Amino acid sequence: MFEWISDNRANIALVIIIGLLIAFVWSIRTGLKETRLRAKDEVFGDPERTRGGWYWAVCGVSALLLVWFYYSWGTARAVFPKAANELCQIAKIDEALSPVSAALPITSRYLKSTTLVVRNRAQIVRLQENVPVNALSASEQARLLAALSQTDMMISMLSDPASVDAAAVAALADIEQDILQLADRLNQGYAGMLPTAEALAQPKWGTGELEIALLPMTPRGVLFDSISQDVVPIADRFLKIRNLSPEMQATIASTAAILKELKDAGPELQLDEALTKDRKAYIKAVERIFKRIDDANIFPSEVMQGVDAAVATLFVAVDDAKGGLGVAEALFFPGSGIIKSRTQCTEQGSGRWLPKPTDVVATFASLANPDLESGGGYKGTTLLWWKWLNIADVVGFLIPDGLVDILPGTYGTHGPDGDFKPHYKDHLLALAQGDVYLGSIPMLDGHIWDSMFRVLVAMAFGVFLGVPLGIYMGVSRFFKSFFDPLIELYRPVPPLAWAPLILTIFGIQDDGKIFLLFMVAFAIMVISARTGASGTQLSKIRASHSLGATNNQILRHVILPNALPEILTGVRIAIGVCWGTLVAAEMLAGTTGIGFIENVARTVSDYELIWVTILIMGLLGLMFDLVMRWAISRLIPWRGKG
Amino acid sequence: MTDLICKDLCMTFRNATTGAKVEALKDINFELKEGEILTVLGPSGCGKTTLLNMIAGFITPTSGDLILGDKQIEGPGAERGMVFQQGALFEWLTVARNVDFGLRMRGANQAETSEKVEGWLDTVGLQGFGDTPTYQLSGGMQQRVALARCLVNDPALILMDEPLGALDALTREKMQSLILELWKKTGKTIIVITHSVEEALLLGERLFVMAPRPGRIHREYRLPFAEMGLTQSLRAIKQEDEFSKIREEILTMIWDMEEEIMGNV
Repeated sequence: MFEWISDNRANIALVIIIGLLIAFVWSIRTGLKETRLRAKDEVFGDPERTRGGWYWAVCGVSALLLVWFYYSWGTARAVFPKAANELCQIAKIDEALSPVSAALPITSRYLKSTTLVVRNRAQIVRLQENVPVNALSASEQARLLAALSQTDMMISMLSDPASVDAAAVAALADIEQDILQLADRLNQGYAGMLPTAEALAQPKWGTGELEIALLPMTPRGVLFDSISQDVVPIADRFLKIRNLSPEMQATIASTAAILKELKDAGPELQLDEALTKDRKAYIKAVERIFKRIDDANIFPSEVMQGVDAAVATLFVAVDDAKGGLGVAEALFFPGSGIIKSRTQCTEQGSGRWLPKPTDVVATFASLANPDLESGGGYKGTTLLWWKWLNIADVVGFLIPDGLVDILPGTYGTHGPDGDFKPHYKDHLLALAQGDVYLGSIPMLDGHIWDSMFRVLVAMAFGVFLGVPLGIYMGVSRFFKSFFDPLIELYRPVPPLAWAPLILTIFGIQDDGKIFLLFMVAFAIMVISARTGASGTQLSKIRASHSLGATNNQILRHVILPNALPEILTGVRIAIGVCWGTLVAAEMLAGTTGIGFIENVARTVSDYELIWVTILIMGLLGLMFDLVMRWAISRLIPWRGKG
Repeated sequence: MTDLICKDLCMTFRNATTGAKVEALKDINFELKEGEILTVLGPSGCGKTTLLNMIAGFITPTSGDLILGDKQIEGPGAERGMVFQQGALFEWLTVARNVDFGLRMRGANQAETSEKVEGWLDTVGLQGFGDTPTYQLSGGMQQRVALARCLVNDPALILMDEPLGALDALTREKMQSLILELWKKTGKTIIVITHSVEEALLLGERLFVMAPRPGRIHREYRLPFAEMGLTQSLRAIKQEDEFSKIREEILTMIWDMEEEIMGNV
């Protein structure tokens, strides 16, 4: 079942997209109709105008999902499931031709020759102007400048159609012809071409190991694939062409001789260490520029025109051969298209970093699969499941070993016969260390639970310690003034700034994270409880005094309930902040949790997983907030009505 | 006898910023017999709320004595019930829980408590509202709850700080009748502070007109209207010549004081 859904995700996406389109259009129509109906009863600014309107929610959600489908190329895959494979074949042509097109003003604005000429000329001028006169004798200077001006002359020779190497011109003409021939073949179409059985057996787009299958699966793809294979030797030949006319060779030889002599001879002047270094560096710079030019891959622009035109013709032919595919690419592949690099074809732009909604669901389903052996979960932990928890572990965690140490009595020692007779303290110690079997209870488990557990434990500590302190700070001058500086000093520090310190002290496991979150929750709870307590109306306090309540009763029965709305708002804020801090803390260190998954996904650029974790965090945050909103409306119905 | 005796009462506040002393009350002397109902009138700033707060025990007088029965007043206590302008109800509790608050805090018997609460809710006209949250009540009903909450404690003295100030005219009249009714029924000593001259005349068996700077009792009246209000309609009482005469007299008095304050400033 799951396999079938996974294999047919493109078709399922198509059904969903059609449904979304219908929902989108329908909701707009309904919305407009409703608006027209109500327009008469409402004036602008009337708060009633914001009530209802769920059809606009449908409109917004479907629009969002449609945009997601579109920019993730989910629509492209649903409508043209084979387009990616065909575009991959075209990308192969681009890849094979890239040595040629890199030399032409196709991938950049200028001919590669132009760029080389301009850059090297500028460097020659700079070297000529910056001769280290102290490090070189007059004759050395003269010879280096001669080498430079000869190099400069070589650039002129390479750029001049009059002095260009005839063999190179002929080779370029051959390449031009071969490329034009390929264009011709493209124009003849792909009649009779058939994909191989091996190619057809490849997994569909997005379902296999490779995102996009490499072998051509359509006749058109076969044509592009065969052209790309023929481009490879042409490009190889192109790379080997050198503009080496006889004069050029002579100049190269004489310049090389000058430089070799200079290098071999050693300095003519007495030089200290720094100047020796200067001399060496200057000669090396001159030599480097000479070596670049003696590659002789600069050609006059007129000579390149033929190849340039041929490549342009080939691209036109590719575009013509694309036919409907070109339209599909323009309409449904926003971003940068598909490129081939060595072993695989990859989606670029939004297609790359925005996973398709259906793929996200598939990734989520595989994460949520609790069966670790069949590849579910992540890094050996389920997403959210349950396990048997040893009660002894909990007891051991709660009872500190030191508590047993301070009890009266002694630990057992071994007797003369080598037997160990445990005392009662030894039994207690075993309990405190969790070494006794006390049975098991079912307990939640998994990355999500680990994250939630940390937040919930930290919140529990934060509330039970923060609220009483906050209340006392709200009513007592001593508590307020004594604790205010402490809390106000640590609270403004962003929790993540504490993280490296806290994680070092308490360890990267739960303890450190829980303490970090506790710090966050504690400050928020103290401040909200304090605000709530100090906001109690004086008349209510006086009324309760007059009714005979004691101070403690007033705290418990008047100030606490009065502060409850603020406290619950504080809990709501604290949960949100804790959640945000937790995920970041998990990214810093740890081996479980949602933030941990995202951190690993980030290092391997698994965009689907990154999005899945983002969505899980969003949904869990939303869930926390909804629970809190529900709790607030249930627990304090009087809020804002006092 | 639980009479209230107020002897040479003075209250001096110190302005926190300027350090200047303000005499809020000076040499207040009066005696209130058990079962009397007293209303206090005066322009703003004449110290009437300060007087009430001192009797309630919320603030300590600078000098002088306040004696209820045979005990010096020191701090707030359940024998002096207080009704505030806005009710000061606990909005997180139901009507019944508000009313039984004092008894609960002092650990009274539960069955007795609920019986008493029922009785007082009946008396103030809130039968059947016991389980209603107080935030759902109108202003008048909230004041009824406040009265019941105070009365269920059986205080010797009831202090009311502009109890009807926030109510509309109609509700106000009903509540005035209710206060007189409760006064008659319980025989409690009551002190009512008010801004309304009519209310002061209607509710007060005795009436103090206070003057500011320093706060003092300017004039005292003994009035028949409270007693009349137990049997006649309050609207009829207001029509009486005697009533109008005193009302005009007091109004002129207060107007003159206000003029004087404005002139001084």
